Amino acid sequence: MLKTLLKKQLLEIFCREARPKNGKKAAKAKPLIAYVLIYLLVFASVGFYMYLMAEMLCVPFVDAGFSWLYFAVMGLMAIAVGIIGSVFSTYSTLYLAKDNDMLLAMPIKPRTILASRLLGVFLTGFVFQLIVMGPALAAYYVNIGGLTVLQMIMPLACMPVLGLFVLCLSCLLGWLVALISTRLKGKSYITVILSLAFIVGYYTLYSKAYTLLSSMAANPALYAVKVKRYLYPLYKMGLGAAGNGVDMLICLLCCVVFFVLIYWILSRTFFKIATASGGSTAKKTKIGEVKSASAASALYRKELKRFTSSATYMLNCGLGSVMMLVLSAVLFIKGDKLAELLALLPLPAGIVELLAVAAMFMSLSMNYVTAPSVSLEGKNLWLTQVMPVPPMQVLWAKIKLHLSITALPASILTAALLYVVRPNIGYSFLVVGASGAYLMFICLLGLCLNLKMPNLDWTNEAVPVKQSLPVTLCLMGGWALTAALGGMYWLLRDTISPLVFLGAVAAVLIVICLWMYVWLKNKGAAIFANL
Amino acid sequence: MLKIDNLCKSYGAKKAVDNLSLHIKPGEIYGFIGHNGAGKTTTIKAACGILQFDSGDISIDGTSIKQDPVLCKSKLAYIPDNPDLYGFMTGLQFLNFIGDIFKISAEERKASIKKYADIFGLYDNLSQLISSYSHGMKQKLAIISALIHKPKLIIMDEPFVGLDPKASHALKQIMAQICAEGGAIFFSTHVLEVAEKLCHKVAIIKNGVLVKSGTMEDVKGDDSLEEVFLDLEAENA
Repeated sequence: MLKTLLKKQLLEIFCREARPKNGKKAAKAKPLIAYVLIYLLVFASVGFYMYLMAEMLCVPFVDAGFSWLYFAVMGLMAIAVGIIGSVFSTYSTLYLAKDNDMLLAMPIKPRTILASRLLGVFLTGFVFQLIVMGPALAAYYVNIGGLTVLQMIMPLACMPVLGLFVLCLSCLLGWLVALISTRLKGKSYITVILSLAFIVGYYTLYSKAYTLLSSMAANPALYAVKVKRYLYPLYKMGLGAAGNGVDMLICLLCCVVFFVLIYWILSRTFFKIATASGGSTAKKTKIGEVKSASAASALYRKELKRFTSSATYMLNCGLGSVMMLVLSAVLFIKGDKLAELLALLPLPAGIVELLAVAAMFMSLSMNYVTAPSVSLEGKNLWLTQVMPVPPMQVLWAKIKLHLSITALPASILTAALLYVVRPNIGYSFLVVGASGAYLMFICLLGLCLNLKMPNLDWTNEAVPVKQSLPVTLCLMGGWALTAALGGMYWLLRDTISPLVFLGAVAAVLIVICLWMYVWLKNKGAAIFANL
Repeated sequence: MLKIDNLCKSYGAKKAVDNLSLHIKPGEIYGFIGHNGAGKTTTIKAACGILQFDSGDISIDGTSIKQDPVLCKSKLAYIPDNPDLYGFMTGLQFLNFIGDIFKISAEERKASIKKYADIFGLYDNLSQLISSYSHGMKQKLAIISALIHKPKLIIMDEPFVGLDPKASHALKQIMAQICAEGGAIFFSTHVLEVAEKLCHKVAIIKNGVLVKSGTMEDVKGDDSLEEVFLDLEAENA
């Protein structure tokens, strides 16, 4: 039974892009290969930077005789990235799948359904932690010579261990969110607040960990003792990855025991939580609340309600707004110190402005509200198709939602960056222009990609919101594009000034935006009407 | 009101609808019957403008759905067989949303919502999220949303599935009233007794081909609609 459910789960995750449409016999292999290739490309771009960071730590740690510390530090980062990657969708993956009722009505034990759902959570967390551990292992193998067979194999063994650990932590948080949600109203907001609290806690710890990391690189011996004392499980995992099979086995066993405990807790409450109505109480109908508005306004409000009703959608696709506000606050508070620091650095003129724009682009890439918006219509798509409104008006409502969620935080962050960097008028104009163009670029790119690659058959909204190709391309593709632009400037630095480069980037982005808008008005609207 | 001329639609090599022509005039209730997979839903979706067809034409109140789909859609209401509505809205929010889309004034929509919600016994549930509705309640809400904007043409796919007897009776009365006021109704059903009692005209589709259509008397003669349908199904089976 579990095998059948796992097959269904894997089909949902991997085969949605390869489905034939409207009865046409599509070549199944081609879209799947393209899907895998694009993922590999995006992960390679992010992984490259992880590799550079890992390489920086690897040689000094290993040379000082602290191979285990290298794996412990990289493991800690992998756990953090893995949890960030999977935790926001755990609750919906486990408890809010649309086929829960159907499966629970079948002669299948709830714990078997739960086990199949855990596969999805595990794979998500595993892929994210792979972004760190893949490059970390590559840096180890490339830079460290004379490794024994055991020293070659054991680092690989730490990946499933870390994956299992990430799964356990994600499930624990998802379960806590579910417990609270079943007892209170406004569950989407509660989930968002809890998750944001988690992020704040995480980043507070992470910022301290970074300082610790720098200090570690300077004095590994001292910190090795501290890690051994305060983060003993990581020490053991590090020893295991460095070639001690017994330690790795102990770590694996501990993770398995932890997992069994979590699985036992979750399986005892799965049926109750998955079938809970959500604590909604009947209110009296107030017909006086009915007010008229324009069709455009109604469509926008519908999109906004869709967004705010889903914690998964808000957290995954709108997190950038929160990050931009936090970053703005930090810049406004500590901006003077940062400005002083930047003035001391021997950077060529215009580089700081370019870095400010890069920070803006990175932040804007974290908001991709439009990327799953077409897929999220799901089985409700017929409603917008049968309405007497042009398809472009429906698409425009999705664009407006993205802009209304992103524009204000982006404007505040731009103001904060300008306050710190204090560029001349020319640069100021271009920083604002390039940021605005990039905001529109991500917005339109997400919509175009989703129209080209829609998934309307999902049973769990985490699939289009978190695991779909348009979403991945917007987030990681946005980051990769920013990095590529940085690389491009580096190559052209002797022939082009930062001002001209920034102007060219803004101009190209505006042209691409115009092209995408025209495409949406013509082909995109037609695609939407005929989905 | 609804004119379907030589409609053809294929899914790959399979012809779902083959050269189908129908004409539904104002004041008519037109039943559409056929076996599962005969092409009923395909025809209905094409008539509503939510499915592109290969050839032929469909016009609503004299306007081609290919030429001006928005105008056509403003004159019709569609109720699918399995109404998936916005689960994140309450019933009232959904009806208000439909009111905005169809540009119904606030006073008019308040009156319509009250009237039809009372008829279908859904008024007290309108403040609940649609995600908490049963299938029948969703069906009732879809029907109310179709009625509040006073469409000239209502196209329904299995409208009686999931409705309780009281709501089913109310819907039949409303259908008759709409037609008496000059509207037209085109609906598919598997309940042949309902079609026989309710429809002025009927069309029978088999494997995408229209095998019989006309007034109820012309189609069934002295037999029951069920006998005629089963005989047609047995032919070339």
